Amino acid sequence: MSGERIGWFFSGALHLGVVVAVVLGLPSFSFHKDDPKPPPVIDIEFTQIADETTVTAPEPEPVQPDPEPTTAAREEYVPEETAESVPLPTPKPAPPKKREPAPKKKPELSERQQLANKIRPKRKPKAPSKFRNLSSVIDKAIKKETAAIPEEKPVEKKVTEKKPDFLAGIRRGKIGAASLRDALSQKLAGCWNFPVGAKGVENLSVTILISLRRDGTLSRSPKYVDVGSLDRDITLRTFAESAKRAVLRCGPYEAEATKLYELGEDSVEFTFSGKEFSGG
Amino acid sequence: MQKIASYILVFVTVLVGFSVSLQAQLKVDITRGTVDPVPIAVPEFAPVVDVETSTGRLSDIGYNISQVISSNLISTGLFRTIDEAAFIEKITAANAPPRFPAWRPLGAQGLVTGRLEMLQNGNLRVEFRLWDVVAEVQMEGVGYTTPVTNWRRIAHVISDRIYTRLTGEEGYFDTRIVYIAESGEALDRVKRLAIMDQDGANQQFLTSGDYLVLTPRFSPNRQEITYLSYFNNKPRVYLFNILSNKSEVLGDFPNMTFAPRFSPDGNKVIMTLAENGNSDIYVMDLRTRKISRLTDHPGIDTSASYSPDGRQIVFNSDRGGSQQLYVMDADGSNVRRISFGKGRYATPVWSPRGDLIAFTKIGDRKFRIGVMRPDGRGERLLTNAYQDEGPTWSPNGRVLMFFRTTPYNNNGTGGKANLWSVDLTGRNERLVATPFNASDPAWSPPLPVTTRGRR
Repeated sequence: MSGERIGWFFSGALHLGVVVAVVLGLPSFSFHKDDPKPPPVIDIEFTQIADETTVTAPEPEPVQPDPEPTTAAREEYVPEETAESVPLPTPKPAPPKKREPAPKKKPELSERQQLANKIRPKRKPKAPSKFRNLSSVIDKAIKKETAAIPEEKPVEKKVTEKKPDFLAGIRRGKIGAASLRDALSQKLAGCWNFPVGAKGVENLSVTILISLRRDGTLSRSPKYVDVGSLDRDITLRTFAESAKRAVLRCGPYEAEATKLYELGEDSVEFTFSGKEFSGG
Repeated sequence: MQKIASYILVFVTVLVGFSVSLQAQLKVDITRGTVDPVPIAVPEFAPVVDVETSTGRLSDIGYNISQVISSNLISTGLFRTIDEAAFIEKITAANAPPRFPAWRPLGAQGLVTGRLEMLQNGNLRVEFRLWDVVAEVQMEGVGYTTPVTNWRRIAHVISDRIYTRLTGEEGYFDTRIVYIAESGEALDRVKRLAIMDQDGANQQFLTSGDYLVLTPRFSPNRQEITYLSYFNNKPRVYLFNILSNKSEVLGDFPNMTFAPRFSPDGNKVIMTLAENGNSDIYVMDLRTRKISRLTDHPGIDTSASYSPDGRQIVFNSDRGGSQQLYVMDADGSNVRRISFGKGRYATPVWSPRGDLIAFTKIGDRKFRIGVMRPDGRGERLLTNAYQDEGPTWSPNGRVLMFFRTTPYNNNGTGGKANLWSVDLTGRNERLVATPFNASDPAWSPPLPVTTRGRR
């Protein structure tokens, strides 16, 4: 192989390596779904209650152009035909909660009685311990024994030089990562609200990626990872939004960022799972 | 040559390894959260111009709308509203986003702002926006135009929107409850059919109380109710139209009919007919008035309720020796028992979500409300009072309403029934205020709101 061909080959491999490093290594180059856009203001036609309530929506009336950017609907007033009704008195308020009976006050004591209560009988002097003599006997016996045993010469221990453990750093890193993971999991659980018992919540899961600065603030806004279309599934959307709120509410992550940088990382991927929210 | 290739291999491996180490992130699983109510701020809706309307000053209507929304959200147990005395920013009718830093210190996660305007045609226009205070974005913005007398319904519709946007489930605030209002002493009790909004407002009697009415049930898609009445001392199932105030007998059966309930499409009524001491389940097609028998067993089969897809029916029967729950196909075939716990089971109701069946469990000297899956697994009791019975689901299948009767006592104050609601998780048990004692509640489907444009 000629020197020129080797050069091309080497250059190609180098470029390939650089591309792989850039795509995988820099999170901003990864393909993350953009945030869902906030919904536009929508129009609602407010209908009267009709006898048949599964009727289709009436044809929209021609609407005058609205100078405002908001788009509220209009409706012609149709008098509601309601059944004759008998007015009822105002609803009874909820019965007041029974108060817990207050604890009975102690009868007040006179000054003399208080003084009398303060007087306590003096303690009796303690009886001499039965073990006092016994312990002195034991002490003597120990002295005798130690005198009888000749002093042993200290044995020179062979000091073996520790070999550098290359895996120790990795092990420490693993332990550090596990404790940081636990700490973050607990912290986020305290910031996350989602209603228990929503239908299908046990199957919901969303992953959010955050990047931290050394001071614990977010270096950019949290990103959903492979979340699919949030606009189509309202439950998934609210679930994902509640997770993002939790991430934002829990910040800043000062202590966690310090540990994270010690591990040589600067980003965290949170996976929120609804398994425990089924309510059953 | 081989040497060069091996150098290249090592180099590429090192590069890839370096890149992988660069992209490695700490992965954290979050499987738990807090069940504390979410703090939300609902300042009063601001009028563009504070004018007098047929139902009061516009500023008062704005205040009342915010109060109804707050009350609705609090009643779910999932939200708490922030005291308005703590508000830093005054929300005005100007079309400008709120200052989020003024709401974050209050702990608010959501903020509801609204503006009101009287239009030249005399209608009221209400706009509301829901803001995510933490992420600083608008989550929802909707405008409504309606007669000003409808302000309370608008407040319910807005509450539904907020609830859906924050929980992912349909709301249930723009709904009504039909129930039996009870007055008088135990031996001379007057029972009247009554209707109210789900929050207890707009109470109305639908029947006079001259004859006994029982077990009202809402049509899933019409303003109609079916109920059992002892008119002229003859127990029959009636169909009642709320708007026309007219009722009709649902067929003239020679014997007793009871426990009527609509099918999910509203075209059929399923009920129990007693003949020669034997009670079985029948279904009537309301369009043809044709009746078909679904069960044929010497035991007492009653309290039938359709699954939301209309393919199955749950009912209770004592055919096995004690009152238990059974499920069958809609044509009466494939009957199988689903309840096997200790005690008896009654009044099963299939959830509109389809995933649960609510029931009254009788045992341990108590009547309690419980739920189980349609295959009978996962039984849970949601209440634990002396006598809770007659569950009805909210249209989103999230909340159950039932009636609770206090035990009889020497003071004569016992034996009275009231309406209560409970979340399907068993949390948030609440008394539903009614002007008289109340029993047998039935929840309506959501009232119609036509949406123009994208929902």
